Amino acid sequence: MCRVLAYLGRPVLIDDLLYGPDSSLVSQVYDAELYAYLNLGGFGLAAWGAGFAGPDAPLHYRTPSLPTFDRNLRSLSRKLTVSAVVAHIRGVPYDESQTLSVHNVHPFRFEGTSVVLAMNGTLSRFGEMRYDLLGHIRPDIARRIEGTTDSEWVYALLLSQLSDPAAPSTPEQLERATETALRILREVRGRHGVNTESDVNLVVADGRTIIATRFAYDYGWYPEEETYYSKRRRYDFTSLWCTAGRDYVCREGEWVMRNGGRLESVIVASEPITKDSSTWVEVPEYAMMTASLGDGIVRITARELVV
Amino acid sequence: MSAASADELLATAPLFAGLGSEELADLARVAQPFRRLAGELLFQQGEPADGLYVVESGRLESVARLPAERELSLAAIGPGEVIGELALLSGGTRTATVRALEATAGVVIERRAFDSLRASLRPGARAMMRRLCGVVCDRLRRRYATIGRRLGEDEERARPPPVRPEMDAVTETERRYASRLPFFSRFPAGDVERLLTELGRLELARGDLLVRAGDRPDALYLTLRGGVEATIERRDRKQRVRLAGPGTACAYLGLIDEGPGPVDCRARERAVLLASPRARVRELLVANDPLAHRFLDAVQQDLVQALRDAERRQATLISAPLSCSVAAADAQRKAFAP
Repeated sequence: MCRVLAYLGRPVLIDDLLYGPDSSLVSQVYDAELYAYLNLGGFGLAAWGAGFAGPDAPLHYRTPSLPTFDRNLRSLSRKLTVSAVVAHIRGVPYDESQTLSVHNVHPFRFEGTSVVLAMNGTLSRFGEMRYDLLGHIRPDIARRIEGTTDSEWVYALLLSQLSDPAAPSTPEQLERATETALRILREVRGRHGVNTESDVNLVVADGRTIIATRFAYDYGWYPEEETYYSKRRRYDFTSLWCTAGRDYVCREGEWVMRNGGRLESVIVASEPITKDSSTWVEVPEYAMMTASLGDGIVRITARELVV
Repeated sequence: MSAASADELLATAPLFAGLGSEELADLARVAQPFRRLAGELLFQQGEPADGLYVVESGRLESVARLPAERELSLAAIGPGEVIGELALLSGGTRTATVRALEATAGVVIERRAFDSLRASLRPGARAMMRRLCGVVCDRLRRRYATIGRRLGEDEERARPPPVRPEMDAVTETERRYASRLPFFSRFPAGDVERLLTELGRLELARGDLLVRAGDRPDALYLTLRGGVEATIERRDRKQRVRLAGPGTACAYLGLIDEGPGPVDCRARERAVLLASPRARVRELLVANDPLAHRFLDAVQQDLVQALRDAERRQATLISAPLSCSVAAADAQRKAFAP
């Protein structure tokens, strides 16, 4: 299971999200609070900033190495101020079947679109379902898939539900594309008789909007022979947390969202990035949350996902 | 405060009313006095939960933090009341900050001292555990009532009667699987086997209503596979207060305190459940043998988790619309205001 973080709002130094707090995203490579495993599959981010050339296209940084030891990332993080970011550390099972490659590192972004996707979850028996999805993916998008992950296919599927992936999308269009993609995945699972739990926490963003899902198919149905869940997992629905306020600052040693009377910034993450989670709230299960930025205000909505 | 006065204080607190002198003496031996001035903290949200406080005099307020430097006032606490009881039941961290509104005094029973009392099987410890179970039931009901009020004063939505699926026996595969669930983690293998033999098995389809709020629950249900959601419903709004996945129980609150079920329990996913009938649960909750003690402990752990879940849901609900409290079919939205 991976760890993911998305930010939208007032300009923030990337370092304040990736390294500053005591449970920052980078520290979750080896010390996540809500996940017992190491996340060793690589790191990526997509970031948008007011001063960036071509503001719709994000800075896209991906590496299969660990961010903990990445001096270049640390250096960039200390200098770059952004208004939106999606960052992801990839968790992979500890076995030789895994492919560690830059092509498998999230967030995914195909050239020509500003939409990116990062995923926290796994689609059970994806290998059996994969080619059935081709019927729902535009050929010009399918051709761009480079890696071996289920997540990149979900990205291609979702992009294909947009009427024009190259054009800017409204929050509603991104929501509909996300929901349709999840519905198609349920249909394809059903066709293949896939009935074990698959968590699909998605973060979709384009620099102005973040869509985040906390969702699972067949929650609570683990493979019969599987002892992993019962021994090491606490049966919690894959987590998603949120905090929002004026801006994210370190005040008297504590990282918090300040109250400025208006909602101007939001962080959505697979777990709080501070060990003290009291200023974060949990996004409900089976929910799709949307945060969109306009006129300096972040508007957040959420609704139950029934697909 | 002397041991004798701690004894007297405990005797007058409703939590301990009716306990025998030996049981009270057990608890008074491990009780320590505490004092706070107005404005001082008793404990802080996020700290390790280290003890239960019994208030003799003064007044305190319990608050939880929210995003954007806001606070949610949870409760006012006065003389005779207890606060921090989850420390003795499950440890973990404090879920709220408690501060004195005026000079306050009382006694604290620290977790470590209470654990040793419990380990030595003193009657006071067992009696206290049962009382605390009642306190948590009461808190959970109040929390659900608060959430319900926030959803609106409308009447509850009319729902069809719950399904009554046929019960059958737990399969061998399911027995092996069930024995690994957290609910049974403190049971020796023999006890798990004995309990599983007694339990019925039922299957629910996605969306099946198992228990309706207001009805008298007829069994404790433990999720084996799938997920059962506990919800509070009003005419056009619904708030999930818990999702009971494998190893989590539901619908038992009314079995402990004899009240009506406070929430609807519905299969959010197709589900396989184990059921222990009302009479057997009541028997296990009051019996005084090792199997009953472990059963009570397991139910208490689940109950504490239910309360923590409800507290988190309430925080999310306050931060609407992250609550998703609006019925899915309506798909309405509300702006999230700081």
